[in-house]
Amino acid sequence: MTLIEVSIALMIAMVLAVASMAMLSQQLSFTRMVQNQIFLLEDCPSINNTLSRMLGRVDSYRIYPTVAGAKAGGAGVITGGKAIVLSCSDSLERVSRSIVAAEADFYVENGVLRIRLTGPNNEEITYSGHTQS
Amino acid sequence: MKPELHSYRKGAGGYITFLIVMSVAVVAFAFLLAAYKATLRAQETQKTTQLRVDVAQRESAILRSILAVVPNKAIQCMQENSSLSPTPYNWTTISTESIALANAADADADGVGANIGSARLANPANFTGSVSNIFRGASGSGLINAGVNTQLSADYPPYLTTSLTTASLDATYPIVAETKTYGTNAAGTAQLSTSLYPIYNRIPYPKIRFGYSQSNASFVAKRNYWAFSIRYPESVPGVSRTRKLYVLSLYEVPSQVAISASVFMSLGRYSTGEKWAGVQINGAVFGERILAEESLSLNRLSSRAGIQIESGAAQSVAGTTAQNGFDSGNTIQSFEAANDAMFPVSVAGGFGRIAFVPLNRGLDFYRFLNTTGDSNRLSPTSWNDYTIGARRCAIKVTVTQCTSASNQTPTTIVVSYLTSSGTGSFTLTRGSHWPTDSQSGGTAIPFQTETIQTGRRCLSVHVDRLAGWLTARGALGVDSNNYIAINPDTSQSTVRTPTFPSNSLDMGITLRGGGGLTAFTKGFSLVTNLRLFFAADLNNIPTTAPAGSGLSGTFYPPLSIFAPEKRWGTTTTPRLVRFRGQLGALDSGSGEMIRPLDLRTGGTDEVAEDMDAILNEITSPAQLPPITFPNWLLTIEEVDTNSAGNT
Repeated sequence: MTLIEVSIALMIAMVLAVASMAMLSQQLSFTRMVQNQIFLLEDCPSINNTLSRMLGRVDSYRIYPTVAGAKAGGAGVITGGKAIVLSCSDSLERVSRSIVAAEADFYVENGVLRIRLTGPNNEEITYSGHTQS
Repeated sequence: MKPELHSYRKGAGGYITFLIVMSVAVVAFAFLLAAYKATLRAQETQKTTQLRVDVAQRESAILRSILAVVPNKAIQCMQENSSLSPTPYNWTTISTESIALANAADADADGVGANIGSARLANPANFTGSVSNIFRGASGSGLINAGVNTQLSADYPPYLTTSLTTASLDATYPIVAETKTYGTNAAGTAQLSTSLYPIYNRIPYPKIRFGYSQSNASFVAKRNYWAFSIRYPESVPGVSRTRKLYVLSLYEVPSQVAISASVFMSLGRYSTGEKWAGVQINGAVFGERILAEESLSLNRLSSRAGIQIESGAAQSVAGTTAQNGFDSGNTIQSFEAANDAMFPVSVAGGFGRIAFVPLNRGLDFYRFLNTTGDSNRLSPTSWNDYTIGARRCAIKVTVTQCTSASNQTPTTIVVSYLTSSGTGSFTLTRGSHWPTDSQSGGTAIPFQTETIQTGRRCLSVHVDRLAGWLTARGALGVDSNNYIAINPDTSQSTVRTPTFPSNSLDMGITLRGGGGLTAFTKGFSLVTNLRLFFAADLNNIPTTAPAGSGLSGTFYPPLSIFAPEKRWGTTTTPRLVRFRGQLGALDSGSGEMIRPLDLRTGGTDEVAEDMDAILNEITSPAQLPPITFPNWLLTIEEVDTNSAGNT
């Protein structure tokens, strides 16, 4: 084996090593990206399902800037909400009220309730909903 | 000397390289597997979510379709020959049609997928089975439980009482009938005595955003309901679902707001262009469509199809201001955030599970002659009797002969009335049994003739003579014979067919002697398809409110006058029009916009602008006159079997 052959073999090995490292790095990046999207891919659809079905069954809502405010009742807001009181009436006109509070922004835009959620990597998703009646 | 390099090992080289490549490949493959698994999990989550949302939306669409289908079926059950082939009106058909109307059974109803070839079905929520797998009664094996004669549980509204026959029909068809009434079981929900007010009572208004009445308040109505459960479709792979219970309510609502019109209505101006003056509205206004041309002060403003408020005509409604476009932007939400109340301006078409149906028969409302038949019905109450005010009247006056086609002075009328054994009738003929006021005995007869200042020939109704005349005829008193319908029999050669607008040659009706109606303890109504003239003061003597009515203070006996055209006074001298009560307008078929306060004078036919009108709402069934205009309000509400509610 000549020196030239050894050189070539080393060069190929180095190219292979660099390519392998690049591929590995790409795989790591891809996996990281997938992990970063997990909020949008897995959590958000579930939250969407919960919110849309919940809002579809309520008669009215009221937004409050704090959970304490929601518990206390009284006048609400249409921007900057951190809690929302959902009111449902049944066939006997009895009203049940529930408080939903989350790390989210509740607000009203163009007459439509919006709920903006921020994920762990600052990804944002906004839901829009309307009550049933 | 050239050195030689020797391999340390025998055999082929490159193993280390192979090992490195394989190791890297394994690691990369592991990462790929992890990513693939995460993707699969995300897709599974999204699929399940999408399915749930899809199913919920289809179910919601079916519920909305029920609100569109049921009133039509209930009407058809009240119409002629519905009992001869009843299948189209039963709950099975209603359920099937509701699913079809919602377009919920097949996500690809147009068959687009068939053109793709061997496409794989991606809509497991599609449905082809029996409706009984979707709809079930709240109890038992039927599709639905009617809210009659039996209380399903404490979570349901109080039932109505009726005969066993009607109850049996109601379990199969949506039956609306006057024989379904409130019983003592409804005490509490029905806020007034059910023995005094078994048909219409004061009951809670449903908590809906449509403000015909005030949310959290009461209104005068009767609530029919049917209970059912739904799970649509019966099962979806991978999605666990529960069967939900609902109550479909049909409220029978007699017209009770201050101003109501089942046509396009303008508010604020007379047809002369002048702004309303001397008008106070203490209540709600309802119209099919509304155009507000001037600023008004109201309690509520509601419409079935839409409200337009002209620029500069902002409405002051229950202390808030409503301008055009109130239903866009955040106006409604800002109000509701600041007040624990619904926005007082609403349009029924803007909400999902509500239907408001004015039962408008137009000009037919005034006719009891030449109406269609109503035999062989499923419902014990006929559609014509239910919706045509003239047909319901106890006293029916038919003008069968006039002097001539050009002189519509009645010469023969036939009066039918209620007696203890059923009905009786008496024919009044000039020169025979019908003396004029100037002849002996003439002033005892409640029906006379006159020619008013404009030359129009009229049949005059003297309300104050009715009680004595009925007694002389052996008829029941004005407790029962307290609503009169007057129609000309246009099949007779001397009787003209009334036109709308009224021709000057047409006969008219003048109303006299009605200043004091206190003898009419159950109210008084008059319905005619002729132009009606208020020739004298009407119902201006108060009495005490009936015991158990929930009312106090000044009370006037309930009165309703239905005529396609009403004129105030009979002379050409303009007079102040003083009015208290409610105003309404039926559809004349012209499609034109109406102005409810265009109260025209009898002599000049001009709009009376010298007016003192206070328009109020009806708040007790004691204020309902014998003849009212019917509406239906339909809602679907979920039954909450777990909660007694917070309020």
